[in-house]
Amino acid sequence: MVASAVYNVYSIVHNVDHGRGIVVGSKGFLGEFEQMVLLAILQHPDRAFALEVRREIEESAGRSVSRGAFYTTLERLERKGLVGWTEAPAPSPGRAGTLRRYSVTPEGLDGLRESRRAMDALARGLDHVIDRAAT
Amino acid sequence: MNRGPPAWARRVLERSLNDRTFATGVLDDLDREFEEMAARTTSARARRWYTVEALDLAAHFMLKRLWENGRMGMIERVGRNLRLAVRRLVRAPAFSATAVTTMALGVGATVAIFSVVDAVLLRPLPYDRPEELVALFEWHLTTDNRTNVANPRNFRLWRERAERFDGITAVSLQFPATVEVAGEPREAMIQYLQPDFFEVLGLRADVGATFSARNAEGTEQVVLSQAYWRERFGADPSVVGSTIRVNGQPAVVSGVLPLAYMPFGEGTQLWRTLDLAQGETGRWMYPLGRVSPGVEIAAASDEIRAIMAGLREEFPDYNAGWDVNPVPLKQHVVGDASRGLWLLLGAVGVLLAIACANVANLFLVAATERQREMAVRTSLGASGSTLAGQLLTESVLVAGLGGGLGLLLAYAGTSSLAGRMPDAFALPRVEDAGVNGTVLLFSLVLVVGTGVLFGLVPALQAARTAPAATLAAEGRSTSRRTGLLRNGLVVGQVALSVALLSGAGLLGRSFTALISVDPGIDPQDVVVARVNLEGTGRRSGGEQTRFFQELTDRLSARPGVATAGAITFLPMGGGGSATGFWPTDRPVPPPDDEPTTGIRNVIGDYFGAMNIALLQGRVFDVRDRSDSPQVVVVNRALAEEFWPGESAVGKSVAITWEDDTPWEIVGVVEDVLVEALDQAAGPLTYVLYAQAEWFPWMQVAVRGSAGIDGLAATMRAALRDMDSALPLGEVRPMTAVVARTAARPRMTSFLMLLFAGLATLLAAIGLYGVLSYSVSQRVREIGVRIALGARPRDVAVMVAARGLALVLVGLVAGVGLALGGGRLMTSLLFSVAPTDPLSIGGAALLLLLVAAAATILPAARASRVPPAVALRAE
Repeated sequence: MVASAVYNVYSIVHNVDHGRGIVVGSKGFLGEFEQMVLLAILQHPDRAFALEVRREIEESAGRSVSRGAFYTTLERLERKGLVGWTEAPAPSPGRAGTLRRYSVTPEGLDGLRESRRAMDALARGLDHVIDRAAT
Repeated sequence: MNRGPPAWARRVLERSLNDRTFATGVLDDLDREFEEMAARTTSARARRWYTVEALDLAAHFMLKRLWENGRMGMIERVGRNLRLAVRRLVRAPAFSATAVTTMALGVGATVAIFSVVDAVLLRPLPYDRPEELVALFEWHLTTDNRTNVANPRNFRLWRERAERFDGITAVSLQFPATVEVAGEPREAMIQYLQPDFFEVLGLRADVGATFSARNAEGTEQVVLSQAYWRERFGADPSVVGSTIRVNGQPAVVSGVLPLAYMPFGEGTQLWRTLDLAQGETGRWMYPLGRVSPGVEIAAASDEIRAIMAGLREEFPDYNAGWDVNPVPLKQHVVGDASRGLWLLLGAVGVLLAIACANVANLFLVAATERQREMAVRTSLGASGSTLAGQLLTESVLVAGLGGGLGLLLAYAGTSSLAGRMPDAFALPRVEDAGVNGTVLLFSLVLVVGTGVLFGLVPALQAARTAPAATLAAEGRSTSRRTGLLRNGLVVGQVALSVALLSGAGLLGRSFTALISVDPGIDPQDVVVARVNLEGTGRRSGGEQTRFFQELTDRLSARPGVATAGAITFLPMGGGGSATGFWPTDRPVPPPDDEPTTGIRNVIGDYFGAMNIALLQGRVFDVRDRSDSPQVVVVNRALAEEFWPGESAVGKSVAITWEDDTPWEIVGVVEDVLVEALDQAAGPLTYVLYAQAEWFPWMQVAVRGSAGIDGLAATMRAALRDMDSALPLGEVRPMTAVVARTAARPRMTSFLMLLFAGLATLLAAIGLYGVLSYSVSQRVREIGVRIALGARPRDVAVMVAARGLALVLVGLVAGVGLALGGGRLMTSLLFSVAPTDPLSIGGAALLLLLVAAAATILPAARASRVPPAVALRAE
């Protein structure tokens, strides 16, 4: 069981490398928290400032998010080219100047897709297990 | 009151950010949150919140940066340094081999001795909560014997009255027993114990079970030692539950102990339960207590002393002059083994220091040769710490390789020693010595420590390299400081070697003195073995005497045998019996002031067999029978103590063994050493076995010209003729019995000599290295001298004088060390003063000779320097 799951992951990585040549393939899959950051940015692209993204994650996931971990992740995603940004006026009332508003790059979207595909592949046929565990 | 976030916290956070993290807008976001917070609550609360959050974030970013820099930098640097170090070591094989071998010797010896120290001294005893265990000896005040066996009634009352102990149990002295397995009787050593002994001790069986109070009913049960189980039963687990015969009685094997040290009975092969109802006289048991959890040993000891004080009042006839001596079990087990071991560990430590000095010297020389390389690299931008790091890697690598090799040496050494140790070393728990986790950790610390130690100086030097000066000097000069340091190392090595050598000399002389002590017997051509009649149905009161009389008579009549006799306890054979006595021509002493004498029961021609000199009167002969007047032979010590200047023959003594009836002294014999070679003889009384069958066994001694094997065969044959079912104990030459008491000093002095020899060799190599290097550095100067007309002899003398000057300084320091160190060894020395001039002077002289030899080669080389070559060396 474990061995075949490992084999699945291996074959997915294999496909990624040779079939599509995506960045993610060689760097490994996105972490859970990275995916959450990307998804939170995608939820509200118009107000995807760092503070707002973090609050979105906290609200959706229902748990508090460490500031340090969050900024580190954001910086890493940017370094990997999975998020981009544009300067935009700060959303807080009475505040001058601009802030970075983040967006997910096409590479970021691909990464999200690949990670989701891997998870789906791994979860195939396990609905009864997962659903029962979830309920 | 509109105040912004605390500026200092903001600055701390700002400083923790690098460009990338700064760009994510951390500061702006935190400011925004602060504003929201300040709008909702008070500004003071918002500022507190900001401070906490900002510092938390700052810590996060700083740790992250440290971690990433550290990880990347370290791995890369170490990897590069290692590659360089390996390449360098391979390029200079002579250098590497010398350094690695030197380290291997130092580390190997240190680890080997440490593994013994670990097993014997450091490791906790292999029982549950061993720190709670206390040995409860009786203390005979008159003779100040603090580890006397205890009286059964005292033991019983201690146990009944003590409240600060979880349990008090006891085990007997060791006795010989005849153990019959599958119809074959053989002698084995047995101890009797309280049924709860193993429970109190906290030791469980390896196979089967130890007996407890619950299963002690019914048939006798025995527990086997691991060694006996392997030797006699081939480690067969099905032996548990089977029945064997011990002294003629059936006994069921209930279990096998693990391979663990057993207190009070090294070499015991089986244990059986004790019948306290046998009586409560005599002193023959070792009580062992386990103090209750939370109770201090001292408090428990006070309690047992108070109980004993009460027992002195209640039973003055038995307990006057006696006290109890509680000793933590570990302390008792380790005992006097620790002194010699710490000394050896110190000695190998010194050896290791000398090895390190040698390798440091090698590295210093190498560093001097590489000064140009270092200077060039510094000019090209290498930082001091980079160069130092690389040199340190080299030295730690050498130490690591040497340490690995040393570990192998130590492993081979301890396992080969361990095989021969039980007799050779005579240390408790030494069979557990070996390379284990603790020893490996110790070796690791040793290797890294020594590597850093001898790499530090060259590394620091490299870090301080002044490129311009070095390059200008064109590698000709060696820094004054390095020269001094190298000379200092040689002086130190010589000093330490002299100290070690004189330590070895002292121990060697002490050992020689020990083995040339006259034991009072002549052990040559004598073979001894025990015959035990217990369980054979021969009763005391005549039957046992008749048997031993006939046996010794038959043996004496055999060809190749000069004479034969028997005694209850062999001199220096371990064990013995003693009791109170007084001369009947004096008033009866109070019980607490009663003199004591050793008691030996003899039969046949024992004095002849051991060749013990008769000083006055006669020894036992045919006149003395069980029904004739009671007579004894005493030793010189007893006679001279009580009848100085007059003959003891004809006087009488009362012996408090069974009753106080007088025994007439018919002869005085020369003192025989009873305990060991280094313990003077005390009063000893020989009793005729026919008149006192106090023990069912005798040690039979046969003297003859048939050789050891011949005499052994004769003994077996004679015993078989009389009773084929009776086993003969281990047959030993008497010389081996005597030698065993000197086993520990022999091993200590042997190892000291070995270490001192190695140290001297290393010191000589170090001296040679320094001198030949200085010659090669001064080739130009020497060439000029020769060109200017100096005779080769003068040059050689100049070089040799330099070397010998170093040696002389070292010798003076070494003699000082030896005089100081000798004092620490006083307790290990036998009839040699710690300031013995022969040992110390001899060590200095030997080192001087070796050092002189080490200077000859470099000096000769210097004298042969052809001036032309030297000048061309530019």
